[in-house]
Amino acid sequence: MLVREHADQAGADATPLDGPDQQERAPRTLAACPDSDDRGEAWRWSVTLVPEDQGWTVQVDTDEKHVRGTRTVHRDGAVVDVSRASGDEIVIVPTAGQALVADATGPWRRWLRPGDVFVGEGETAEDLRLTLAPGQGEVTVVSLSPTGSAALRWVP
Amino acid sequence: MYVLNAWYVAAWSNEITSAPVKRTICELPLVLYRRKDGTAVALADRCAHRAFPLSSGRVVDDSIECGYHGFAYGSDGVCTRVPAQTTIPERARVRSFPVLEKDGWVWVWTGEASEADPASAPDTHWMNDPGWATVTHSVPFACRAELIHDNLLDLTHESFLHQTTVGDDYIYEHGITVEVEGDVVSVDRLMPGVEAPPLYAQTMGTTGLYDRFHCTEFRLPSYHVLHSGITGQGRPREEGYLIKVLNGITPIDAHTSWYYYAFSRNFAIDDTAATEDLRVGLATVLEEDAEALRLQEIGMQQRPDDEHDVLIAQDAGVAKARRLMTQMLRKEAAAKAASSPEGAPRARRAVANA
Repeated sequence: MLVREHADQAGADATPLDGPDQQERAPRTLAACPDSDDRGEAWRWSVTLVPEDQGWTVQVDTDEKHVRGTRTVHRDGAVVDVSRASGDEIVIVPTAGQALVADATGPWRRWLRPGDVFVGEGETAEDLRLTLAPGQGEVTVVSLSPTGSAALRWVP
Repeated sequence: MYVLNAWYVAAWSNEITSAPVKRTICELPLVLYRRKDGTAVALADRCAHRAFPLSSGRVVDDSIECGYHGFAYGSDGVCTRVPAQTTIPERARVRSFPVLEKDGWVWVWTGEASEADPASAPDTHWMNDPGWATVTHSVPFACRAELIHDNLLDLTHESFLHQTTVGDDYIYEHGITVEVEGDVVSVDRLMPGVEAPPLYAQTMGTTGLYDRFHCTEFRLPSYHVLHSGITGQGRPREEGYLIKVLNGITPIDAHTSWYYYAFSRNFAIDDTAATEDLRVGLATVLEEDAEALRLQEIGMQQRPDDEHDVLIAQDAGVAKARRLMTQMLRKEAAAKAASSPEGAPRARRAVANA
């Protein structure tokens, strides 16, 4: 799933923003499970964009009984192969510069820029290639894995 | 609650004539008619005099005349004639709605007239493109508009509800890619190496395996384009047999909707028999949807408030669209609240005694 530039914002802190490298500097939920508290489902994880003194950081919160999360930051021209195991969830967040996310085996590819968020999930494993444009690029890749057998979902 | 600052399909062009046509959009009763110069008009369907429906009247010299006491209103909604007197009361006017007509669709803007931008009306050009052949239907659905949006954003229902027409078991076996940009939610599914669906295969004249695809592009709050088709395995989509299904979803009220449907194809476009077969077959598809959603609407009305949908992975687009719709409603409500200050005193001029 690819969400462009605040077209939609998960979570309760849905304050309209113009982009992480622009003026508004309030925390913003990028992806969360459940996507909404309207249906009474238990919270499992959330990925939030948080302002720092010099830019932005991506914060990962999980219910550790159910979800294990890791966070990796890639910079400047890096080419990264991202493998998502069956049932895992990945959240890719560009915080500076541009990055190309592509299906390693297919034609699907999209440029990401600050403000966008890409979420990958599913019971089938997948391989992605992430290419950061040269310059001051920075992308955070969040990997979430279930501690039990159930596959993770953005929409549970 | 409805998003009112939006274009909604009110009719097909050929339905609007000099005879008044009644429509209800977002609980707003409207009367539509066509002036002598060909312009379509939409007015509130309620005479300012005694609330009689203007749609029960007649059109006289580009004005609509109330069938009860003969008040007449021009296309701007201003009363032009009161038969029983020469003076026209100041408040004798009805609301006029912006109308946009293109490619055979008549759209009405239900919100603030000053915000009605013709450029924001959805793309329907396939209806007029000589390279495409089109079949249309319009069907009243006994369900809320949200259920039709959900239906179009989760096409796995084709495997079960439309088994003999556009359905195949393999649909739900393939994942989706959801993209959200601005007020558009897209749900794309690629189904590589499969047979064409039964309803289309005969018209396409195809056998064997293809890459099938469908991408629902929902332009909130009222219009979906389904970009669908088959192409050679591993080949670009644009090389294939292409279908554009245009869906105008117009809420009537909280429990009923109008469904305006156009199916355009870029193959066998001169084959009139194929067009007729598709017209009949697609009517079946819509009937299947209409009946299923009628039953679902009943289920929704009977469901306790604390019981909620159990959404699954295939519902990601549904969830995103619902959230966007909620945001649009909140934004409109906030704008309305901001523009209507409470208790503002009315300006009055005091008249001094002589």
